[in-house]
Amino acid sequence: MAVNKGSNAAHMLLRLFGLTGLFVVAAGGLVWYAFHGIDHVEMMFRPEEIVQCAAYAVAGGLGAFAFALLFELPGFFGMMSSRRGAVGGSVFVQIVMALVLVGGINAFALSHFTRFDMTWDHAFTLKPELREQLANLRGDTDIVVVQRNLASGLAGGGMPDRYDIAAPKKIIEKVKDLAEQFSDFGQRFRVQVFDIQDDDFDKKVKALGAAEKKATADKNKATNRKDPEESPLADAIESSTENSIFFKANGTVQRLAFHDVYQTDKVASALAQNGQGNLVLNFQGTEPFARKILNIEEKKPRLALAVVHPALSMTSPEHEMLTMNGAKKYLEKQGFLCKDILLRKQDGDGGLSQEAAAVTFDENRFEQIEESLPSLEEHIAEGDKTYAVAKAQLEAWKTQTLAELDKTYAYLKLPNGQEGVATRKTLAELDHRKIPYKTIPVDEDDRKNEVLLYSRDSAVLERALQEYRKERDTLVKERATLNVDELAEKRRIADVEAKIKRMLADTDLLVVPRFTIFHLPSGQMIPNKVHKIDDAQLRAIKAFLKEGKPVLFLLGPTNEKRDAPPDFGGGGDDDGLEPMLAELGFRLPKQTILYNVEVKEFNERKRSIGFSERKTDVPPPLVDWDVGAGQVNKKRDAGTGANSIRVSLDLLAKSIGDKLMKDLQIRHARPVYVEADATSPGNFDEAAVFLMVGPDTWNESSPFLNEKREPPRYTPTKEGDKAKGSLDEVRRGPFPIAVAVEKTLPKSWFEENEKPATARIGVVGNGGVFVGPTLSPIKEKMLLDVCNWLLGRDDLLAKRQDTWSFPRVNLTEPEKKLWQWGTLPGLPLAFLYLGLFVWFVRRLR
Amino acid sequence: MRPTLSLIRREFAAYFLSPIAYLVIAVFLAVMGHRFYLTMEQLTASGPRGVSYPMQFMVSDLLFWLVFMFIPPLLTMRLFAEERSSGTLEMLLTAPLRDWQIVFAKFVACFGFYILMWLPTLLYLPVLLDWQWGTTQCGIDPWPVATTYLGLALAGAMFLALGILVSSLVTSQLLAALLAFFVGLLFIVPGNWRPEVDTHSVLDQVLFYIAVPTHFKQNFGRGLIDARQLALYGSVAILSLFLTVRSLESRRWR
Repeated sequence: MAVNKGSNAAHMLLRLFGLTGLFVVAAGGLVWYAFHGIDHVEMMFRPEEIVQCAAYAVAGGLGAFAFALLFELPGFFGMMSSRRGAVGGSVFVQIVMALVLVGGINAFALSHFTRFDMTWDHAFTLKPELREQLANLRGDTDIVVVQRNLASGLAGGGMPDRYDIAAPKKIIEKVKDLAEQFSDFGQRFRVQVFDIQDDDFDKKVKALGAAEKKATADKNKATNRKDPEESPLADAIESSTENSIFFKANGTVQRLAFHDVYQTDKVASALAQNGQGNLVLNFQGTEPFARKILNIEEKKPRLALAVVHPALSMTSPEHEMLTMNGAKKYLEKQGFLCKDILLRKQDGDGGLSQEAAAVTFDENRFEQIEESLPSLEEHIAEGDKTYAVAKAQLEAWKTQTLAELDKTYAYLKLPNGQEGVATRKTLAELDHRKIPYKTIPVDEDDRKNEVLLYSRDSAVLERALQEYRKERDTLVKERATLNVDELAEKRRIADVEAKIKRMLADTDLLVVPRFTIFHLPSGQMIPNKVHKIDDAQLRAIKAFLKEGKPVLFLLGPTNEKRDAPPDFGGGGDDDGLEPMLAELGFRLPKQTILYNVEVKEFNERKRSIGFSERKTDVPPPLVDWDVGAGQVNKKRDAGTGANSIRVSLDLLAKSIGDKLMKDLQIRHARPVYVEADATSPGNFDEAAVFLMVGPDTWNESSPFLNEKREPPRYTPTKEGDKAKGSLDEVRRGPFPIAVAVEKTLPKSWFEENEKPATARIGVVGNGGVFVGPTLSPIKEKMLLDVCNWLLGRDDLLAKRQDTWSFPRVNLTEPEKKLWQWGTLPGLPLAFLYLGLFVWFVRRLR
Repeated sequence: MRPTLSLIRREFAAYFLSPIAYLVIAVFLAVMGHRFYLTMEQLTASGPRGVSYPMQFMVSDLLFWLVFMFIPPLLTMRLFAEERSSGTLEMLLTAPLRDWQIVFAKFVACFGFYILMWLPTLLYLPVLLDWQWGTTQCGIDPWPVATTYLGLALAGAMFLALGILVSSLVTSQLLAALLAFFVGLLFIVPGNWRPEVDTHSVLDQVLFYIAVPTHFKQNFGRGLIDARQLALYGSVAILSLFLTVRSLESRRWR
């Protein structure tokens, strides 16, 4: 605006007016920004009224400014047309052009930029092959980092140590950095960070949900479809309980926990810097992260659990000691689809029958209900009849006169002293049988007694009928909820093998648990024969393996007391499952591993006869052991290379510390070996092992209190015994109790022209390791690792890759002091001295 | 070229004739010394404490930026405002120098002093890089240090150019310093104050774009060079110097 020295007061007032207009625009804009989009506020005016007023203020202010500007224009044009003004005008244009140019450069740079990663290890750059894969991805991907500020899903209980407190902060920072690398690919990857500590966390999640629903609605409108308006990403964020990263593309959501990307290595952390400590994190690389994005529409893995009784299934939440419901809950949270296959028919009363079956939990329940309903209906019909009679008699005694009652009833006295009200029909029967009796007419006392009696009977009958009807209604309602779409078809198939094969056709992983021993000192156990499967079922399992599909066997010890518990059903002999595993190279001796500390409990049991209150804590199994541990023949090399599951668990163990590892206690396991070499009976394949029990154990063939109620004692195999030197030798631990290996199946299983398939097989020497309504975090992680490995998803297991730690500088105390005092106050003082020196010199001049 | 060099020399030497410059350096080094001490503590800590990028830790603190904000105004306030108030600007403008040469010379001298001010901090490097005298190798990645110094040089150039522009517009040194300080705030405040906006919104991106402390925390301090920051610092510095030239020129035709 040109400066006009001769402007009068009116002109100044106009300028003031324009300036005030600008101020009003700013103030109105601020109010509009503060109140727009707000639904409700505790104020005198409604938010929409305030926003409207703000808009008016902005419009008015702009008007005032434009009005004032109008009066400046003549002066401006006058100046431009003068000689000096022409120069000024040219400069003005240059300035405007420069401003536009700089604005344009920066606006362009805002959305088109490159980051040059100069770090040694290119810590902020994705690998070229991954960049290429990501560049080829179609569609948009949402990446949401949700920060809940917990140590991890494995935090568990107990007091956190300093590593638990320090690690999450660093891990959160690292994960955010990783997510940010994807945003460099442009708008196709929308990276957001939600922090629970932010005030607007809930608001953000709600807004995300609303946006998801709106996107579906818009898509429906455009494509004329009627897809349900859902918000899977917002729902997943709301239900998450730990620090997680969510990925969403094409309506599919995948989740990754922070500890899948970074894990704290507490052992290395404590030992770092000659024991001074550091924070050591195991970085799993960008693979787990990228995998979720690249395979976002990956099919959910399907897991089937083959058990004999619904109580042992994954679905039943009842029977805390038997159910695997906790495993199901966790696996489903991890994206698995789980189902049960019940291998034995149940009686109507819930008992096990001898008949082999192949039904789902729902189908089994449906059949049970179908079996129960007719008898229930029968009870109800009979009860109705009895109730009607009782009600009629009550009515008669209540309403009829004594003369009328006398026609039907009489008071009867028998010679044996029995007496009471009887019907004339009964008297006729007594006459017929020539039994002498005396009668007197019924009176008011009899009426009173009979009314009381029939009232009570009617009430009892009514209550019983109510219960029956309620039970029937509940069962009918439950029947309607059961998924039995395939039952009718299955009923037409008589062949159990065909039924199981059909059920396993869409299964990716089969789990076969045999929970045998609950508690040795008290002798609580499920006999082996309960778990027995028939040959047809075994053939179906074999066929599953022949397809190259993985199976996890959870097989508890098969030792049994001589005074075996009552028969729960099942045949006498063992089935062919363990011989089949033997064919595959697995050795499962008929032994139970006992811990030295368990002997105390046996002794208490011996003395107390009744229940012992002691809860014996056994050490957790080992995931880190020296090469050759547990081998009987120490001279031979038993194979090298660590099992992937073991490596993952080892990293986890180092991450969560000893306290949480204790939750992995496994009592009453059996040794499980994968034969290393047929010529070396004392060796097993160590690379197949992922869990071992420690040295404070022994392998016992008779792990019960004996007839004299004496506890089992460690008695090593004597020299000369044929078991000596073999894996069956009774000895001190360690013993492998869990193995997982990829096996080429025996040639004999296939036709001559067929190529033997390979399959991944896991065997854990305890049937109850994953039993319970909930699993401890460490057991959850072990189950997930085992399932992922068996399914060939090795990249989801933690690996020993890059480690990260804080950089450290080794300085001695004197060096530290020199650096400290030299730089502060040394350096500043030196410059102050120089300044004073210059000042003095200048003064002297 | 020679007159320009003479002017650069004169301007550069002028800083050393005043004890104020030494005082500024001393205060600056005291703050940096304190940051260095804290960084050294982290680098020699025991347990799960430490810093990932020492240079990032040194320059991402609010105290550092508070001091940093005062430096460019203090260095630039006198450049034109003093000349104008003492009447020497007319003499300078009549010298056989073009306006852009005057601006360039003053900027180079000022920038030179700014760089000189940072030079003593190179003494910290053996610790910040875990320099092994025996093997003459670094134990800590040197690139984040290099990129941080590069960022500090570029950001300094931008703030100094802004300060020169402000100094060319006013007569009072104090006013020049205050105005330069407030203009500098525009680039500093978004780094430490972020309104609750969607992390992916345009406003958030713009705030990040101009927030100089965040650039050091996210990029320069960790060994990353982001083209956005190069564009911002470079374009604003050049624009400011261009406007300064035009501001000087305006005295001829006003």
